Amino acid sequence: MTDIEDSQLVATCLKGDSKAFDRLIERYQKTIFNAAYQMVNDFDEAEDICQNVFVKAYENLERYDPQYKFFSWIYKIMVNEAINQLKRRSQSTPLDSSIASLDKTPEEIYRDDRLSSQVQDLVAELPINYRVAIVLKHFVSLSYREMSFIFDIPEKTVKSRLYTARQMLSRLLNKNGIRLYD
Amino acid sequence: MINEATFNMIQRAMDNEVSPEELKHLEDLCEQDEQVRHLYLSMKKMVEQLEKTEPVEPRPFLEQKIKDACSARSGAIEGVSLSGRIYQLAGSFFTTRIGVSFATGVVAGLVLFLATSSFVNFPGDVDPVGMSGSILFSENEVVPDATVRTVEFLSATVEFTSQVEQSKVSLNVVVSADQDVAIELKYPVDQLLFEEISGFKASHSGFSSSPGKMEIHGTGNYTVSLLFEMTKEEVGKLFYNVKCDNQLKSGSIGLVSDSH
Repeated sequence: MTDIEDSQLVATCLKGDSKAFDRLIERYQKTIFNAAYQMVNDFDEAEDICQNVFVKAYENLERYDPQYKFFSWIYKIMVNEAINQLKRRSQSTPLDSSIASLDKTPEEIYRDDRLSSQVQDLVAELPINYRVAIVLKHFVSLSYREMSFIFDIPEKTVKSRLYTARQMLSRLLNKNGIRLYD
Repeated sequence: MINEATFNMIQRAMDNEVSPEELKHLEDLCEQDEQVRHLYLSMKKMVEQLEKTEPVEPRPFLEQKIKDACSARSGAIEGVSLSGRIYQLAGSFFTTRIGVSFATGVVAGLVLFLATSSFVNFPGDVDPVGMSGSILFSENEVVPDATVRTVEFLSATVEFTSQVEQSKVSLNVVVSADQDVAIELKYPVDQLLFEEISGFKASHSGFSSSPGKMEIHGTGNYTVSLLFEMTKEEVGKLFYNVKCDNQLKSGSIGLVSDSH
């Protein structure tokens, strides 16, 4: 079966067939959820962000510019939703870390045992703009061109931001005594 | 110290953007220089770890939940369109001044309702669906916890951009100087997590850091990136002294007003 192009599904939806949007949800909800999860490091918040992304995309489908890829557009919405969520979180009272550690889910305990999860946890320590750069490049595998569209900055600046982000992460790994090679 | 060209080549190698000749050159550098070898191997392993992160499965009901939420919005969107159609219809019938005023009042009421309902974003949010314009991370980003301090002299400009997120403060110092400019940064001891200088020409500039203080001087264009661990309230403890053209300008980088 040939996959219908995203832009075609958007056009169909705009003509009144809202079921076409369901196809886009099926196609992208897992990747959007995952990218959101890497950014906010919280399962429930990532689900909320994922839902908000599709609702906002649906409500504003007429504003989608088909000269860009649909997934770039929804990633852009997701990045801004995640940032807004993190800003809200920073305005609220932080959770006591000792209480948080007692309530670890089996999923968290499993993740703690793995080196990549340590790296992942330190990604969450980076300032937002550097964290987003790492997530989009290394978890979502976007190109610099796509990241340039999402950030609304030149590709050269995206590269510079990612280089700094990787350098920061590397320093954080050293600072936390995590040695990646022998 | 690793020079900028080597640093950039290592970074491009992480993105598989180096030519076979450059890769060979990088291998040679790794053999000759322990620092280069360490940076290259650390970066390589770190990127490998990042890219092997297992995807997390959302709960199975999420997909249906999203579909239901969109479906519910479908009714709301149609409701708004219907109001527009009523306005158009009313416009064609209410040709008197009273009729127009009434129709305008209905629309104004609807706009007020929408502006105070969940259709609007959380205060301070960026427009998440904008294709251009006020998107975060643009070069001139303005976010609530960010400040920009520009210190200008006849022959130099120094811009301090700070951004606060939870307990981290990132600070970028962008220098553009025709004459020698001396910058002194003061910050709470032991809270500097990261420092990096790019575009800095060591031949005619200097840099030193000690607990709680950093001094940089030089000409040309360069950027200093710093990351501190501190709260929003402590940002007021970040101070600068900038000297150029026989003038000294001082101030706070954070949320406290300048004291030039």
